[in-house]
Formats: sequence, structure tokens, C-alpha cells
Amino acid sequence: MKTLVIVSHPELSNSPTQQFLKASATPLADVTWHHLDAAQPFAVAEEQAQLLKADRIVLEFPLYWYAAPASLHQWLADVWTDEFAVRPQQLRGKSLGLVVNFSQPEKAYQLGGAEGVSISELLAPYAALARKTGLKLLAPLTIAQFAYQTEKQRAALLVQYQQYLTVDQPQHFDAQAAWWLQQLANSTDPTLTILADTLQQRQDRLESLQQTLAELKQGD
Amino acid sequence: MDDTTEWLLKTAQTQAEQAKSYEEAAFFMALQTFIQTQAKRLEQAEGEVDGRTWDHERW
Repeated sequence: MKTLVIVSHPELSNSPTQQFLKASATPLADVTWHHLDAAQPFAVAEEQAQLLKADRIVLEFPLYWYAAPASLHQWLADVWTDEFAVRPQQLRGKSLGLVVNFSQPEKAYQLGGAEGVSISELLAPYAALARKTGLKLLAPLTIAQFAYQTEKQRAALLVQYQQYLTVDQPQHFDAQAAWWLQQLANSTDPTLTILADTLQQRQDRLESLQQTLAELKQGD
Repeated sequence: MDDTTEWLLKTAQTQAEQAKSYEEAAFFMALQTFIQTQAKRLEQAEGEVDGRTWDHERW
């Protein structure tokens, strides 16, 4: 799967979050990380060609006043023209991911929370864009208060981000399990081979139990 | 926690401590969370199968 990450951030080098995400994506072979603010004014034909080559398009940005920075809006206006994205439906069937970071805690973004509005509400225009252009929308990957995250939380984010860029259905546990097993399969360390085999056996057992449960529920 | 889960977690922890790069350390730190989640799902699924199998009202 080829993934194109579209990053909108006016001061990339001053953003620890974006630097962390960039470093996390670097080892991934089929991932292109494209910084919009450095590509202005946009070479529209090249931008469109990149989009056509990708299987997954990921829009990545911080929330500024509850929306993406200006470069993303400009890019959408210039590149996602009616003739390119809407009438010919050339992007249909690809997936659209959203990686959004903000400086408030996650719980601030809900009804009755400090911001009083949910992330889903704020990102609704991208869901509309996906619908209009035939893209399959993934649940957003949200990153709250990166600066306060512990080492353990950052480790989890690194893996979650890599899965978000490369796994067909990154929110499904079975797909995550397959990703872990695939990563461990590359190891030649005998201890890791035993570890991978054990995890595989557990996963097989889990899937078999889920199958049994599905059959039991059918009989209800 | 069962012995296998304990061994898996300990092994992942050792790998994280001996990692040669940040990415490798992060991988094994996050693997511990996956091991715990998988173990929990397994326990819940086993419990649910047992519960449904031994529910006499469904016999």
C-alpha cells in the first residue's frame, strides 16, 4: 500500500510533534511525507499525480482556531478541483486518514468539555470531502498534548502512527495483531522467534474462540 | 496473570532495555501493551464461551 502524508504546518522545524511523526514515518518504505508549506506555490499537476499514485491519503495538521492551517485550505482549493477530484471520481476507493494534534487534553473536545465541541464535529468537512470524492474515511488519529506525553505514551504513538500509515484497517485489533507478527517475523533472534510463535498461537486461539462465540450467538 | 503472559512481557521489556535505537525501544515498549490487550481479550473470550456453554437456560 502506498501512502501519501500531506503535512500542513507553517513552522515544521519548531514542532516537536511533527518532528516525532516525521522520524516515525522515515523507516516506512511506501510512505511519502509531503510538507505543503515548503511546496507553495503548488505545482498542481505534480500534486495531482502524487495523489493518483497513492492508495491512502493522510492529511496531517495541528488545530489552529479549530481548523487546519492555511496551507491545507490553499492546497485543497488549488489541487482538488472539480475536474480532478469530483467529476471523474479518480480518487474513488482510496482511503483518507486524518492525523490531528492539539494542545488541550482530549476530554476538552466534547459536549460540555472545555472547548464544548467534538473533534468529529470540527473534522466534519473532511468527511464531506471524502463522501464527495469517493474516499473511505478512517477514524482520525488524534494526538493531545504531545509535550506532556510520557515515554510509554510516545512509544504507543509511534506504533499507532506507523500502523495508521500502513495497515488496511488500523483500528481493528486483528489487523494490528497481523502487523505485530509481520514486524517480528523479520527477526533472526531465537528468543523473538519463540515470542512471535507464542503471540501467533494466542491470536489463532482468540480467533477460534471468536468464531465459536459467533456460532453460539447465531443459535440464540 | 498467567506464566506465558508474564514471560512475554518480561521478554519484551528486556528487548526494550537492550534496544540499539529509539525506534526499536519504542517498538518493544508498545509491544507490551499489545501483549496485555491480547491476553485480556483471550481471557474475556474464554470466559464468554464458558459462560454461554454452561448457561442451563440455553440448553
